[in-house]
Amino acid sequence: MNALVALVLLTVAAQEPLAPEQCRIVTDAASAVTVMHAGKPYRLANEPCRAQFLSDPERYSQLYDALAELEAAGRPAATARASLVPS
Amino acid sequence: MCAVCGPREGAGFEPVKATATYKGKQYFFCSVECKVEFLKDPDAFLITDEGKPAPDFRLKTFDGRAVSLDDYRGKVVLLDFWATFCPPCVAALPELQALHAKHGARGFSVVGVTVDDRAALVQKATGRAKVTYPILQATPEVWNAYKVNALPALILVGRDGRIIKRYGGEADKQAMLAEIERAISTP
Repeated sequence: MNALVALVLLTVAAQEPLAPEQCRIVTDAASAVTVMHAGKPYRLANEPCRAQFLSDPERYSQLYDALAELEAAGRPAATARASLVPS
Repeated sequence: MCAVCGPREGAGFEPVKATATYKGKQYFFCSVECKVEFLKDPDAFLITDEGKPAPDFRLKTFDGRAVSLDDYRGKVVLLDFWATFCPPCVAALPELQALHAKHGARGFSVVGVTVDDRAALVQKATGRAKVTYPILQATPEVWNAYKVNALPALILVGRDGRIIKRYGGEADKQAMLAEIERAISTP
């Protein structure tokens, strides 16, 4: 019984939405999903990532496109929030 | 990063490197990184506190004089959150001084609030622009209270002490000037 509860908790934890940067990284082909927006496919890590994307496709498609642009340019996106103090 | 490129509804002083559309409006950014920050949590940038009381503050000028927002009760105040490391902020100083001088007799004042603690740089920038309105030293409490997350941030406060509107700089200039005129004309 305890093992079953642990399995359920682990499954729920695994299904929690990830940060957008993480949603773009597909580590498990079995859980990966693809969504289409404006004729373009977006491959995402899992079902919660898809749900997050579909909650506001216009916003998330732009976000993922921008993250891909940064990645292609070799500039990782900042993980911290914007600061008033110059770095 | 993002120190000077808030979401702007129009091109500003800095070259636009990225754009994003959110809820039917287009926003402009000076870097793709800023666009990413914005898209992660747009509502954090698009603060709607219009009509709410402007948080009171008591801040010091660089020569040690204490100034509070309450000192301006009954006046229309344009709070200018700025810093010397923000080029559009520095570029706007002469125009803000001109506004202050033009409408001062009608119950209007610009109040600068700098997040910069380098007095010499602040005095150089304000001296060059011949600024006569008070320049106050911000504290984290004040910029948090005003939810300033990008510079420049201009906040127009009405005679009743309530926030009328926020502006992001040059791109919002015409709308801001019209609103200042409206606020001054309102008894």
